[in-house]
This record gives sequence, C-alpha cells and structure tokens, in this order.
Amino acid sequence: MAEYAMFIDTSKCTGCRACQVACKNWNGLPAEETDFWGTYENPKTLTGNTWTKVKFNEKVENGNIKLLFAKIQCMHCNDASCMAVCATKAISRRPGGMIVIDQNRCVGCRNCVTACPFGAVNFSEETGTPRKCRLCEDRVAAGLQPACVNACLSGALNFGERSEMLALAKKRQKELLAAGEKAIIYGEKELGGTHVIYLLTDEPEAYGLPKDPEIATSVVPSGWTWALAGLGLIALFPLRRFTEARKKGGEA
Amino acid sequence: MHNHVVWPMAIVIYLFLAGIAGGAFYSGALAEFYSGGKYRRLSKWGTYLALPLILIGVIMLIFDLGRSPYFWHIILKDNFTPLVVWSSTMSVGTWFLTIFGVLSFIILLFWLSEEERTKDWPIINRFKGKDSVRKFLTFINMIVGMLVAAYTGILLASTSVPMWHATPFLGLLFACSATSTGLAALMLCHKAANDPDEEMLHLLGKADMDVIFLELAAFALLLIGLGAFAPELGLKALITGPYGIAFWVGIVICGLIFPLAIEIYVNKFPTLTLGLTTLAAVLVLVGGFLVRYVIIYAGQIAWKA
Repeated sequence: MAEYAMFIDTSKCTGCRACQVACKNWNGLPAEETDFWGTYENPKTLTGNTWTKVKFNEKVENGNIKLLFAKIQCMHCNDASCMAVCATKAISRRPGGMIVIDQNRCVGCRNCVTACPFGAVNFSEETGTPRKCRLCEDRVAAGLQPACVNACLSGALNFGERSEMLALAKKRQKELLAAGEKAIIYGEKELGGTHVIYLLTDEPEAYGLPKDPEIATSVVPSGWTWALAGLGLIALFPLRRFTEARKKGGEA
Repeated sequence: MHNHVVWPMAIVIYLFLAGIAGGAFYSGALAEFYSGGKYRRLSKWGTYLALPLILIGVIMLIFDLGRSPYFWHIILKDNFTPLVVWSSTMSVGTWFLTIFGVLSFIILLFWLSEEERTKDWPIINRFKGKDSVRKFLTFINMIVGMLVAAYTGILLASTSVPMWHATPFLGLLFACSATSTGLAALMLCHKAANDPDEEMLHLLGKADMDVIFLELAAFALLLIGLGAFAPELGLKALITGPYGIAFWVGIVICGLIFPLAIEIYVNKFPTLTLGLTTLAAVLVLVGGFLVRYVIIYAGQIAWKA
C-alpha cells in the first residue's frame, strides 16, 4: 500500500465548510449545539463528534484584518503522541500512514486526548472512547478520496501519495513566493512527517498550529532521571534519620 | 483546546491516594531497615495504609474509564497474555500499580498473622514466623512503591498539556510530595495507635522536614522551568490564574511553609509535641491533595482556553 497524505492549500480555502459537512455525513456523526460567538466558525473546537472543521483565524496586519482559513483534523503523525501513550495498543498506524483508534480495544482512559499536540483526539460521551479523523481509511481502501477532499470545491484539499502531495505543496509554494506572498510548508518534517501537509500563507502560530511540536513522550526519560535522583536523595538523607533510633537501644 | 476537563477529580484523588500509599509504604519500610528493626511497626502501618488506599485509588481509576468493563485491556492482550507498552507511562505505571497492590496484599498477610485477633483465621498461620520472607518482599515492594510515587508525575508529563510537559520536574515533585504525605499519614497512625514512643514521632517529623525542603526545591525548579519553557500556559496559569490563590495559600503556605515551620519548631523544642505534630501532618496531607488538584486543573484549563 502506498503512503498517503492530504495536502491542504490554505491559499485556496474559501472557508465554505463543505469538508466539515461531508465528514459528518460520511462518518454518520451527529450535529452539535453551537453558539454564535462572533464568527461563523463552529463548533469552537474539534470534538468526539466533529473530526474536522475550518478554523477562521484572524490576524491584524498593517491595520487590516487578514483572514486565514485552515481546515483542521488529525495530522496522522509519524511520531504520533496518541499512539505512543496508548496503554492498550488500541491506536495503530495503518500501512497507508493513517492513525486509527480501535474502538473495541480502547478503554477510554483519555491519555491520547491529553497527548495530542493538535487537540485532534477528543472524547465522545456516547461511545466512552476518544474518536477522530481516520483519513477515511475505508474510502481510500475502496479507491475513493476522503469525504472532505471529495467535497472541496476550491481545490484547497488534495489527496494522494505522500511524495506527490509534497511535490504539489512545493510547486505551489514556489508560485506564491514568486508572487511575493508568504508560503510555509507545515508537516513535511514536523513530528517525523505528518500525513496532512499544509501550505500556510503565514506563520504556523497565526493558524494556531504549534511551531515546533514535540511528541508527548519526549520528556519521559528526563522525567524518570529527575524523579529517581530525587527518590535516591530521599532514601539516603531524610529517611536515614531513622538510624538515629539505633543509638537509643533495641526493640521498643 | 477542549471544552471540558479531560482528567477530572477522580484522577486527582487517585494520584493523591497512590502517593500516600507508595510514600507510607517505602518510608515505613526504610524506617524499619534503618532503625535496625526498632521501628518495625512503621513498616506495618505503611502496609496497612498502602493496600486499602491503592485499592480505593484503582477502583476510582476504573470507574473513571469511558469503558470500565474493559479495564483489563490495559494489562492483557485480547488473548489474555500480558501487555506492556514501553513508550506508554500509563502502561508501565499500571504494571507498577498492579505489582504494588499484589505485593502489598501478600505482605499484609504476614502482618495479619502476627495480630492477636487473627489466630483463629484459616491459612493465615502459614504466614507466621516467616519474617525474613516478609522483609525480602518489603524491600522489593519498597522500590515498587517509589516507582508508583514517581510515575504519577511522569504520566502527566507525557502529554501535550504545557504546564505538565514543559519541564522534566513533575515526577520529582510528585515523588517528594508522596513521601511527605506518606510520612504525614504515618504520623497520624502514631496518634491513632496512641503510641507512647515520642522519639519515633520526632524522627518522622524530622524526616518530613527534610523532605519538605526537597519539595520546595522541586517546586522552585518547576517554576523556573515553566518560566523558561511555558511562561503563559505554565507559570502564569499556575501562580496567578484562577488557581493562583489555591497555589500560594493552599500549597505554599498551608501545605509547605506552615508544616515546615511547625516541624522546625518542634525539632528545637521537643517537649511541645503531639498536638502540633498532628496539625503539621494534617496540613501536609491537605497540601499534598492541593498539589495534585491545582496542577491537574490549572494545567488543563489553561491549555484548552
């Protein structure tokens, strides 16, 4: 099986949200009660029932508001934090690069929810498990494109072999740079390479994407080193005070 | 990034109880070994505390799962063979917890066999008079207890929550706090048992005094680290933010400075004791609970905002 990727060209996104609807439709996900909070962007965050959404990022530049649309969803990382922290091995990588949660194996401990650097894994009260984008593993296996890509009218969403998507991203980056615009590729190297690749027209932070994302488990070795050193100190000094008892004689 | 707290109060309580259980066990065990057997009963009290606390904690953990009936998926594969995922602190920690629970139970049987009221119980007499076996198991379980105390902090660190992930000091802090709360629980046992040996109480207080100094150092490292690597979502969210008062008044003053002052004072004037030491122990326990509560809630709420 080829290694797949989705390429999101944010310079072409119009914020129509057809991808968001197509995802709900294909995956049979219920609607959510939403609020009007000063923008057409809804719901506020990804949830266990909303696996993708268009974020309407706003940036003020030279007194003008710049709208930065970006579809967000699971990034399908090579260094996937959710998969690394999962105690039950419910989360696995499919040959095409998709990260998928086995809903029968999962116990609902929600470590993956706290581990994802993108907030893409979210708990569903209905199933008692975290749920997220599967990069339409089922459709891809049947030779179709993911539902969101299929629904995209503007050409912002593309899907295919990862190398081809990367080539497409670089070609588009050159065009934009030649036109004097900002163009940054995100996902080529981040977290070992992701299976969602962005072409951004501003810094990642302006889109709410972490600049140098780290795998959640990166701090585990140093964490153990400090903790064990501390426990060693505790055993060797404070608790050794009990040797003072010996001077006072035998069994009390 | 999330609308609700992903790890709620049940997790706070579990982390608190597991800390006391581990801390009381290894502190009691080391007290026995270092005192040459004189404070053997601290090791016994540690066991009597550890087993029920760890059981309550594990039951809370299981009920907190989204799919509680399948909790065994964490330690067993679908074909019922053991599953260890080395990259997962949750997996490794659950194994520490399982081993700690089983060993604490076996060690408890050795202690029970010494009690007067168990002499008519079946089987229990087989554990009688085998103190070298009990000591060996206690030594092993002491190390497992330390790993239980430390993993709880490292579990939080292996996430993307900035306050938890930005520094490597959370395991250290939780280990210090676990030891302090474990010693405090042993002090309360001394009180509850009406133990006449005030020297022992003084030594528990002195040991706790040193541990609190270490815990203060761990907090200092954490705050400096957060200031450097997560100034907004880590440092500010912890020491100002909605949990700022709980941090300064609850943790720093009531949970650390106040009991430390009492322990230093009692150490200087050993004639004034019982009531003050009990107060210090209660304050340490309240502070230990707040350490978990504030870090877990402030960390998540800052992250999702």
